Amino acid sequence: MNISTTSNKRAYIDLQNVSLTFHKFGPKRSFKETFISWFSSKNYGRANTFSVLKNISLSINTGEKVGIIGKNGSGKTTLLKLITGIYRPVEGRIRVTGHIVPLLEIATGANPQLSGEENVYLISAMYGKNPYEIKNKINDIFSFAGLENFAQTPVKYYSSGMKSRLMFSIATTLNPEIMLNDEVFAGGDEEFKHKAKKRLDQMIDKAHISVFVSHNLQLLRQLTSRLIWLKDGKIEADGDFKKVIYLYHKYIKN
Amino acid sequence: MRTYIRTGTKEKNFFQDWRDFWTEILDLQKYRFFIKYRVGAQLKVKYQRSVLGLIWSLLNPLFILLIYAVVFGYLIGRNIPDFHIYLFAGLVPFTAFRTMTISGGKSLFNSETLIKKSSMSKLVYPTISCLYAIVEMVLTLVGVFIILIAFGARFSPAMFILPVSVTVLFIGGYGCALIAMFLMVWFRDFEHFLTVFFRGYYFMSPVLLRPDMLGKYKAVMLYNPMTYMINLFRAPIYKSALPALKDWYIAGGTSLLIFIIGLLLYKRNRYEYIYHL
Repeated sequence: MNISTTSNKRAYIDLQNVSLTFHKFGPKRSFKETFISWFSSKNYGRANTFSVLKNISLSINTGEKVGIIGKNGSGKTTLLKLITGIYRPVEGRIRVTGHIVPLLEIATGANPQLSGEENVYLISAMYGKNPYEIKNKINDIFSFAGLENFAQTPVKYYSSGMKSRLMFSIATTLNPEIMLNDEVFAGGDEEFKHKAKKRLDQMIDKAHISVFVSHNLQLLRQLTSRLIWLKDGKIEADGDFKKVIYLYHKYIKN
Repeated sequence: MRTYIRTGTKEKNFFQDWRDFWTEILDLQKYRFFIKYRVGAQLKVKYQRSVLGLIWSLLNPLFILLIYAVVFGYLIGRNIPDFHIYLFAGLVPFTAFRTMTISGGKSLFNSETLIKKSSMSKLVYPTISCLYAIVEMVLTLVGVFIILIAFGARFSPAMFILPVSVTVLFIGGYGCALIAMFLMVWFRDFEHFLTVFFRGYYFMSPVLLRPDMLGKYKAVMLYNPMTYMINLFRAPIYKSALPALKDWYIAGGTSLLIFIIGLLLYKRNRYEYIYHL
C-alpha cells in the first residue's frame, strides 16, 4: 500500500497480471485438528486452495463507466473487493488513484439498532469522512432517498429497498472519485432507479470512475459504455459495450 | 488524490512490507471518527431501553463488589483492613483486562460481515473493543469510587497518577487482545480456553488475596505481572500513595513487550485473517 501524492489529479485504476487464490478451510479448525495435522501425513484440516482470478490486466481511466458481467461465481464481486483493497492479490500489482467508496451489497456496516441518521454518520465515518462535514448534508441524503420521515427510525425496521436507497444516497453524497457498485439497484423501485441514474450522470460529469456489477443488462446498457466480461476468473472480453454484449449473447445462445 | 499500490503477497519484499504496515498504522487516524462512533454506539445500545440506562454500568460492578465484600470480607477480609476498597482497586482493572483480551480477541468474528466488505485496517476492530472496555472501566472507577466515599474511601492527590496507570493497562490489554485475536481466528476453541484461563488467573492475581497470604506459594503472585499492574491502581486508591518504581518497571515493561509481540503477530498475519473467518 505504497502511497504517493501524484501531480496527476485523475482517478485511475490499473491492474497488472493480478491473480488471487482463496484458501478454503474445512469446518472450524481446533486444537485437536491442528495437533493431529502435525503427525499426520495427510493434509488434515489444511486448506485447499482454488484460484478465483487469473492473470487479470485492465486499466480504467477517469470518466469511464464500466460494467462487469459474467456468470455467478465468475469473480465479479471478488474483482471489486480486490480493487477496494479488501483482498490482497497473490500475484501481480494493483494501482489505484482516488478515494474509493464501494457499494457492496446493501447496508454494509450499518448498525441495525441505531437510527437512520446515526447510521449515516457511522457509515460516512467508515469511509474516513468527518461527521461534521456530513451534518449539513444530512437532509439532502434523506430527501434523495425519499426517507425524510424515517431518519429517526432504527435501521432494523427498514425494508431492504429502503436500506439500499439510503446506502446509495450516502455513497453518492460522499462524492467519491471511484464508485464501485455491486447490484445496488436490486432493491430499488423504478422511480428511484430513474433518480439514481440522473445523479450518476451528474457524477460522471465530474470526471469520476464508476464500475457496475450487475446481471441486469438493460440497466448496464443505460449506465455504462464499456463492458468487461469475466468468465471463470479470466477476462473473456473487454471493450465497447455493443461489441462485448454481442459476444456475450453469442456465447449464451450456444 | 492518493495512490495506493498493492503488490502480490507472493512477491515478498521485507522493506515494502514494513512500509505498508507503517502506512496502515498511520491510516488508522483516518478512521478515528468511525472508532469513536462505534465505541459511543456500543455504550448507547448496551443500555438502550433499560429503565436505569447508563447507571447499570455502575450498579453492575457495585453489586458484584457488595457480594464479594460480604462473602470474602467475612472469610479473609479480617486480615485486610477496608477490604471492600482493597477489592475494588483490584477487581476493576482485572475485569477490564479480561474484557479487553476476550472481547478484543473476538472482535474479528463479531465484525465478520464488515471485514469482508470494507477496506479498513483490521486493527480497527480490536481497537474499538479495547477502547470500549477501557471507557467503561474509567466510568466504573470514577462512579463507584464516588459511592465508596460514603463507605470510607478517601480521596488523595496520588490519584492523579491513575491516567498513567490506565494507559499502561490499555497497552498491555491491547497487546493481549491482538495475540488472542490471532489465536482465536486460527483455533476456534481458544475462546473457551481463555474463559477458563481467566478463572484461574483471577486467583493467581492479588484481586482477593494478598501475596503473603499464599504462604509458600506466594511466588505464583510475585512472578505474575498482573500483581504489579494491579499495584498501579491499588497504591493510589487504597494506600493513598504513589506506586513503587518496581511496579512501573515490571507492569510497564511487560505491557510494552506484549504490545510489540501482538503487533508483530498482526503484521505477519494481517492478510490471512480474512480467509480464516
